[in-house]
Amino acid sequence: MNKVRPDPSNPLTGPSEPVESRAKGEPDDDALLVTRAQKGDLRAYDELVIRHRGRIFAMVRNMIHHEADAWDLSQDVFVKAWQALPRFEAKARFSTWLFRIAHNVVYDWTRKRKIDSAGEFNDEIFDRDQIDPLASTAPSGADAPDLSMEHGELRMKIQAALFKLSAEHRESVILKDVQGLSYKEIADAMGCTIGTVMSRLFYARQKLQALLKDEYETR
Amino acid sequence: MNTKPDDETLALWLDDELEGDAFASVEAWAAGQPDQLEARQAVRDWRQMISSAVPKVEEPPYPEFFNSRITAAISELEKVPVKTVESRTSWWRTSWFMPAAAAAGMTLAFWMGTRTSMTVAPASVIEVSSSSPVVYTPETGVRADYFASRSADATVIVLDGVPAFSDALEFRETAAVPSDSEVESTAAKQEKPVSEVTQ
Repeated sequence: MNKVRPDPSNPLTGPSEPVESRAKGEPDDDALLVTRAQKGDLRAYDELVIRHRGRIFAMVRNMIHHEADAWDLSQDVFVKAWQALPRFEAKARFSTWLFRIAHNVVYDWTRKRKIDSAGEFNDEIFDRDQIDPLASTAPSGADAPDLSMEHGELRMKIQAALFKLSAEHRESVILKDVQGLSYKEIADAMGCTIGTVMSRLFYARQKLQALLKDEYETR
Repeated sequence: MNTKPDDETLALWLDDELEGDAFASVEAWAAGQPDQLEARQAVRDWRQMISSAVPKVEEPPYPEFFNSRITAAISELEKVPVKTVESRTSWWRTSWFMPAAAAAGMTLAFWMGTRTSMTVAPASVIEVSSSSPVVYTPETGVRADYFASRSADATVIVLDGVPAFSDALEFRETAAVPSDSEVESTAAKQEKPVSEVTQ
């Protein structure tokens, strides 16, 4: 029997779900835990990590396309969030705030990588087609057994196409179309205006649709 | 409202982000705009395709270990006092005391070094000194600063005024603490003349 695994981070939101249906009176279950964590309750913070690690890991992994590094960076996100927690004012959702920290962590890491590799950094090295499938450090592309092979293949194609976008365009697509954030939340997470997000998303989708032309037109 | 909305409002409507009156008014306008309705459906289809293929939530491998590493990192952060050096409760931790003590220690070591170099040490003394640390002291005109950080668990001595080493300089006679075997063999060589004298 297939069981539908609930989204532990936020069961009410979804990328395909119209925003207006979730914006109305969504209970912020994190608020209590955040308050306790701000008082130094590490157990409450651990619960927050459990709730949000899946979304943060997925976001980081989709951004850098490397599982081991995504694992480390996602931990950095939560450690930095703990350090910054006293300054969190709950103006935004806790998850949006985490995405903002994840954005900074990923960009810092990418910048450092560019410096370390003396300008040899090339997004296309992450192209799955160029990675030896037997390599021990190859990013795992294994899907859950209950996912169809069709989805698995499509995911690989989408991820390969995502890596042909600039980091800003890629992130806007991941936050909007995968994570289901609103324009306002994406602007908060990426530290830019809503207009910039709209522009980035427009061009990113256009380029992705061109790259995935065959897939997109057959649907 | 039957006037065309501005670009930002239209983009929000296309992505299903409008609500309330704003949504109703654009919806009324769009009823007569089949191309806009089609565009919105295309955006919905696109989101559906992406979200069905790329998971929104992906548990990290070894999730318990993932959490325990975060907890350990936080505990480590909490253990380290933020401003150890600036603590005012312990007078011996004040900013001037540590460098002054270091300078005094180095002066004493330098003085001891000059004393021991003037005398010929007997074999027994050499054996004792093999386990003692070798102390290097700066030349005259060299300023030494000593920095200790508890939070970094590190000590740094900065020597200012030491002339730059030439690339051609070879350290053939680098001072080092001799190993026990080296001390034994050295002692044996030095004892030999003594036995010769007694013969």
